[in-house]
Amino acid sequence: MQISIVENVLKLNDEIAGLNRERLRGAGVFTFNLIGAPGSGKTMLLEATLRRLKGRVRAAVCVGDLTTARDAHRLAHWCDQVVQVNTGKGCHLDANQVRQAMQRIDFRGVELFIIENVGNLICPVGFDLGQDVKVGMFSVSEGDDKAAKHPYLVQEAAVLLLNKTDLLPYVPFDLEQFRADVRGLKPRVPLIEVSAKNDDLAGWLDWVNQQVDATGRGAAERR
Amino acid sequence: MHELSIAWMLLEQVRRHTPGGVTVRRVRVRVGALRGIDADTMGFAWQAATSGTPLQDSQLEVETRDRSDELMLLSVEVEEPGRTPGDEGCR
Repeated sequence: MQISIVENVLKLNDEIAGLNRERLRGAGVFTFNLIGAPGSGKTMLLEATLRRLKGRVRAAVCVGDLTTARDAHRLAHWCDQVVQVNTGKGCHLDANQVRQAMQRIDFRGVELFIIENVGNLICPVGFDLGQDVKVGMFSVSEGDDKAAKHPYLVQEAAVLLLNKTDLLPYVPFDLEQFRADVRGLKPRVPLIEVSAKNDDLAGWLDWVNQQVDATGRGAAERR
Repeated sequence: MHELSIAWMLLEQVRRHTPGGVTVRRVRVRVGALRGIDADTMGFAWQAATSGTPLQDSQLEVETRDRSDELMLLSVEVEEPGRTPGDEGCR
């Protein structure tokens, strides 16, 4: 006997993600889901970003790792609301983990919610967490072929970062090839080159500020 | 290895749709290429996820579709107690 069903396998995840999104948008919070490989510099980028935004943009962070709270401890220097999620064997965050993290955050006055996903260029892409946008991150030390080899992240991301540009003189990395690969996959995606270590973040900070302002204005108009 | 977490979700979903006491023989899913799911890995993940459960002998059939991001459970083939596969309509 065959039972016909036709139901989205990620139905539950997507429903919870929808509730997260509704709550965050209702509160006028701009949310991005940062996806990149282990060691690409996600946490260092966020440390530098939060340091520069401190006193100007109120932020909260949910950070996912298999184990340890090291990232949360690093980010807590620059942000008073940081929740670490330990996924155990899980290679990505899911919407329910983010929902539980959100329950520990006071969103009153918060304008920016950052979700730092588990270091992984593949699995996090397929799981909606309720973010406004996904931010894809590559770094010079990973090699110039990573965008071409991870097309799903490039296609899903609203903005792409290339970190560790300070290493360009020291490692083989064909910047023109990398840019061409990105353009081939998603012609109009903004590609912002940064060095979190050297605090060289101008284009990225402009982008974050624009998104936060636009989300805040949109929420104010709805009220 | 997102195939494994998807297999766990799929297992829960199949259980919700399957009446108690029946044996699940085959589960059919349709996966869009944009999901980044490998059909062979998905089959392996299904074996791992169902191991030690009543569904451990079930087969996962993955149908792929280009230029799509869908991930759908399509159907579940079950065997009712006291009946063997293939005798549908022969009562």
